[in-house]
Amino acid sequence: MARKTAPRVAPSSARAKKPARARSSRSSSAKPAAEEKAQTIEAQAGKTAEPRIVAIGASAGGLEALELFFDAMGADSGAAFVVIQHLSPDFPSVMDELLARHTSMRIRAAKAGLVVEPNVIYLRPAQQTLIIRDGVLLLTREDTKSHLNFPIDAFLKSLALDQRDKAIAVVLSGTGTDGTLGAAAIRDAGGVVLAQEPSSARFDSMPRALIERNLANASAPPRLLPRYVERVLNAQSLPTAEETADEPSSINPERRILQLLQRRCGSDFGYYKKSTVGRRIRRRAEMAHINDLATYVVKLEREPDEIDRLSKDLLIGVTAFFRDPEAFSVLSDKVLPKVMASMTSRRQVRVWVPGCATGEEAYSIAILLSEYARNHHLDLNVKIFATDIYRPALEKAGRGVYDTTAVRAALNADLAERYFEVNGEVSQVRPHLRRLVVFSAHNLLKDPPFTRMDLVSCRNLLIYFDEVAQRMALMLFHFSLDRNGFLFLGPSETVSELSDEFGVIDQYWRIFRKVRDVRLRESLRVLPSASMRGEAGPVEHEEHPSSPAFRTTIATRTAPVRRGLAKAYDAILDRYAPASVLVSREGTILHVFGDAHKYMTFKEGRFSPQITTAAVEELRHTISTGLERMRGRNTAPFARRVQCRLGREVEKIFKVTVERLDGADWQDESFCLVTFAELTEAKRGGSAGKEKIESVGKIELYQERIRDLENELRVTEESLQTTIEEMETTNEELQATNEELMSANEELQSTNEELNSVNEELLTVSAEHQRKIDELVEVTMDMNHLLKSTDIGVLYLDRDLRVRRLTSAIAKTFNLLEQDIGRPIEHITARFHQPGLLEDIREVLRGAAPCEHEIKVGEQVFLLRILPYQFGGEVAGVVLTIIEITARKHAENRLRTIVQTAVDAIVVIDDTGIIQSFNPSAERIFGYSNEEAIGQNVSILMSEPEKSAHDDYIQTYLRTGVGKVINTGREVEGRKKDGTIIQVDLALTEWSLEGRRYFTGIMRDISARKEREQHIRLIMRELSHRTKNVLAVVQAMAWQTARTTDDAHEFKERLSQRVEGLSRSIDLLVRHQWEGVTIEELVRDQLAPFLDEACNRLELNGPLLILEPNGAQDLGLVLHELATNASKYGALSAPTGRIIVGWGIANGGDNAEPMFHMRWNEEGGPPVEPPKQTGFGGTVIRDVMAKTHRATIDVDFAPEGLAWRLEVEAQRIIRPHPHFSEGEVEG
Amino acid sequence: MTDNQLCGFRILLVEDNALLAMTTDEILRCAGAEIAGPVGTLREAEQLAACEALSAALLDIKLHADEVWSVARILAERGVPFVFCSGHFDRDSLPDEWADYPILTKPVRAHRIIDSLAGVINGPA
Repeated sequence: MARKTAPRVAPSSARAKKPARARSSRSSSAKPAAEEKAQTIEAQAGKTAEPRIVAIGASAGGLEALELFFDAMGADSGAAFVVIQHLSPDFPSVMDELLARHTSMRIRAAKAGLVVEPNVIYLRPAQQTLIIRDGVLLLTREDTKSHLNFPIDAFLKSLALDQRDKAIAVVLSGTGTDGTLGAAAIRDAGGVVLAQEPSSARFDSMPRALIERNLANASAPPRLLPRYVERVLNAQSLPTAEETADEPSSINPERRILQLLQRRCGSDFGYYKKSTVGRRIRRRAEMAHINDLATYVVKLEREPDEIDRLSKDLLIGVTAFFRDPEAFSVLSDKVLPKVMASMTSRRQVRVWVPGCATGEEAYSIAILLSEYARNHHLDLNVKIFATDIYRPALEKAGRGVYDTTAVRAALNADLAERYFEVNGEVSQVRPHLRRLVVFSAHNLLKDPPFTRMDLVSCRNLLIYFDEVAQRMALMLFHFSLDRNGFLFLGPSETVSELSDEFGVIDQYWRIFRKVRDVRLRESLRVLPSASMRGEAGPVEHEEHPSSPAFRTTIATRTAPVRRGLAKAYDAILDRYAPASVLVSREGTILHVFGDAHKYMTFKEGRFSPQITTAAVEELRHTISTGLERMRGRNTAPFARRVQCRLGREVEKIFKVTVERLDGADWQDESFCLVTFAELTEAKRGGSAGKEKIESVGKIELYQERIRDLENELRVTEESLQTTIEEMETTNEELQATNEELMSANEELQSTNEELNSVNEELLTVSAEHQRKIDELVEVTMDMNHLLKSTDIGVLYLDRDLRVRRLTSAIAKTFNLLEQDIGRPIEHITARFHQPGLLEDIREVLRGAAPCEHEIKVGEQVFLLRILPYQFGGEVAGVVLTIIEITARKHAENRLRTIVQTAVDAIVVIDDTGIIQSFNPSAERIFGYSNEEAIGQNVSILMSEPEKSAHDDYIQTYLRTGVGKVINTGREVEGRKKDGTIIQVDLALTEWSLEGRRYFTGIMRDISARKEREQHIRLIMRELSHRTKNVLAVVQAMAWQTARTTDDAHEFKERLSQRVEGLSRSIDLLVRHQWEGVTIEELVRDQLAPFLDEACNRLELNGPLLILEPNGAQDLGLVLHELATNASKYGALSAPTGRIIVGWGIANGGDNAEPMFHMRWNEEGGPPVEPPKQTGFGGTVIRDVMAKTHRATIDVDFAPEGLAWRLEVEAQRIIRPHPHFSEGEVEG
Repeated sequence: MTDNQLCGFRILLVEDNALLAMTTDEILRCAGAEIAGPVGTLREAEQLAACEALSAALLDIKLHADEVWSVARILAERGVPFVFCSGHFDRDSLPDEWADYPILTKPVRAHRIIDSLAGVINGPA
């Protein structure tokens, strides 16, 4: 339990206890629990293998990188892996499960006290800070209270302390900069830091931060990182820049170009605007006829001159004397009085012109200041620092030689004369002006700024910088300006975010004034720009001698030599080497060879390893002079003869030689060898003349020594002078740096505060986002439900016509599934056929009007609309909507069918009389086809006078609203295509649609009806005539009956019977359309009332003959009277009586008319008596036919029965043909 | 009806209906007239109109399929006054040629026949 509670104690006490605990874990004596003992034993056992610990830091987007990493990482590397992730405290992590799929290594949650084992992956638990001490993992609870936690930094720092140069850190994808400080600690300790190649990271902030700070030894995509780790584990060197450059994806050409530029010229163009730089690089490449930047890189690598040309292209801006004269005049009016007011002989006015290029701007300001002093009679005490990064430009500026035309263009003759020495085509700045300006190479973004400036003029430089660099430069200007100092920028540059710190003097010409002395919260330290990321090759400031990397190189360079062999070398040297001493350049004794000790003496007091104190007195001067020489440029061996006495020996002459030992690759390490040789008597004597080595007396020796010392003094004076000058510069720089650091410190404090508040803010923002997301989810669901419930099919396509969103309703018509989202619409088949659909969609995308189609899917009909999807005023895609209109379509069809099948002609015209529609009945009635009629004026269907007047009718109606025919109907004359005039019944109605008025005429051809009406009128008249005739006959009957009857009752009886008889004849005639009746019919009809019960009492004999209507009537009258008589007195009055009626036609002679005969014979009745008086009946029987038809009537009242005989010309009463002709009615 | 109004006059009677012809014949005779006819065909009527000595004529217009105009024309030429008697025609429908001639519309009472004939015989034609 103690193990668990320990990390929970307050951080301060935890910190105090941890080292003790950690140490104890190694000794294992303090561990109480058996389990921990076991672990310790394990750890001790593992110590022989001493597992290397690889710390892996990852945050957002890190899981993917981790998976790739462990996929490629061998499971038996022997290293332990500690994964530190940023974890949410609110959700349990399933990292172990996820990683288990990608590695066969064991995965454990890190626990306090766990001894790290090889080939195991340890995961950091949430909300706990994991560190390592003595190979044992420790946990402390994170302070969750609003403090930012940097778990990766925390672990890496502890790893650096624990593992020193064995530490390995890998930083993967993540936002923020966690890991940067830890990586720095690891690098300081000599460990290795690897970063994920930023371009491969989901979130590149974390690895990028390392690379930007040059903390990463190497960077690579996650799947390649294990290879690096393995190389480190196997003590192999990391792949060099050249090796990694073999992978084309590892570096992009533009970045490579910037690196080349940096290396060659020292200018970091990464801070320049990418667009500008990119454009200029491409232009340069095009001028070299290279289209491909990668190829251009090759050219640059081969031709350093091309880099110079490119660098020049990138650097040289446009400059001129008094560029924007108005700006300078404003500067002169508004700024100079204030600046110059502070100028005294003791106070210098200081001006800085960064980015001065060829110096025109600097000289312009110098002229301005000089002129001001001259006009106001002031003593000029001005220093203008003009700096630029590009040395060739500075050289030109320093010479001060310009085109005369350029000078004359900007300056009036007076000024030109005063400040320039015109020399033909060129003019040179006069010395008094030149003296005011100091040109020096200076990198605005890297080198410390100048300070206490009264004016900084930086025109049209910032425009080339990217935002960060601009901001940085402005900060620098602010820092560099004295309070109330002025800043003069180019017309399109602003102080942007620093506007609070700069008062505006002239807004248009961008002149500002620093308003207060304040440290701005922003680091003035400039890091290498982004372009230097991933630079694994040597960059000048990386290989600092004190850096661990350097030390390891030295170590590997001095190859491990076997100690025994070294001793052998020493023995050899002792035996064969002349008496000599190896010293450092400073004169420290390093090695004594041979019997050189003879030449040394040791005095009491503090020991000095300097040869100049150790050598015998007589030799000291010579040796120190020699060493002094060696320090100089002349490195030729220095040899002198010296006479001296060694110990108790006699005075002898010795040759002392000092020479420098140099190796080409020794760099600064050089040594001097001092050799002593005794010149023998014989040698001295024998070779004195030849060798010209003179014997040197003591005085000469001293004189030489004095000369040497004087030389040395002069050299020292010179060097002191240089040093003093350097010191002064350095002092200036150091002052600036110090101030910078002070301000940086303040900044860091406030940044810390800020970060705290930012964290708070982020929490709030996060909550807000969560709420927004909830709302969005709700809105989306609402929308989905809406689309689903309305059953409207909707399909969104993006600009590339890929499916963005769809509803289930549309899936019915297109063969679409949810997983089709993202697929191009071309790939999707529809369940309907609509040619040109894609083209229509593209048209709408191009900005055409929305369009509609009706489509059929099986039995269903849909309306397909293609609408533009507008977003921010632009067509961002296309929306297809589909609505089922089957029912509507059916209704429409029904209505159309009604019109199409109507019997009546239905014609629609617009308000100008033009036919809009024309149904099949109209075609039939008027003879025009639909195509012929539509578009014609409706007057083609009319006859005069309506035809000519129709347009006026419409106009009058439209104007006055008064129309006779509208909304009623009438019969009018129509005109068919063939000119036939027809009668039509016209019903006319008016309606309007979309603001236009239309008229519908429904017409029926009533020509036939009209004809029938006419016919009926004729018949009615005929009927009237007939009636009158019949009435006349009845009148005659009444008259006759009355004449022959006295008794009113009998009159009534007789008249009724006769009228009935007449009526029967008329019935018969009507039955035959008044064309005539057959004789048989007439006889049977007239006898019918008397023969009800005994039909067999009548015998008819005769051919089929048809009587004329008049004849039928007349004969009917006669037959009626005969029958009446028979029923009263004759055959029909007795039950056995019979009547025989016979007829026929007989041809008379040659010229005679055919004669019609008819006979009426009665038999079986009572005996017949002739009548006593002739009544009406008798008259009729005898006279009717005789008078009018010239018939011969013979009546015989024979007692056995009445015999009546008729003979008449056949043509009078008989129709010529024995057949009825149809349909004719006779008057 | 028996006032002998037409006594001594010879009247041409043209009527194709046998009963009407017989009845009219009797009526005119009762009024004292002598009757030529009655005839029911155009041919017979034309013959009588042209040949007989006539005081006046009563003309039924429709005779079977014929009309009586040729008879009227003959009578008019001879200066014999006449009266039309018809069920088919009336004053309005009478052809213009005969518009000034009297017409009786069937059915007609006996004394109207007699009066009309007497009228045309006595008055100006």
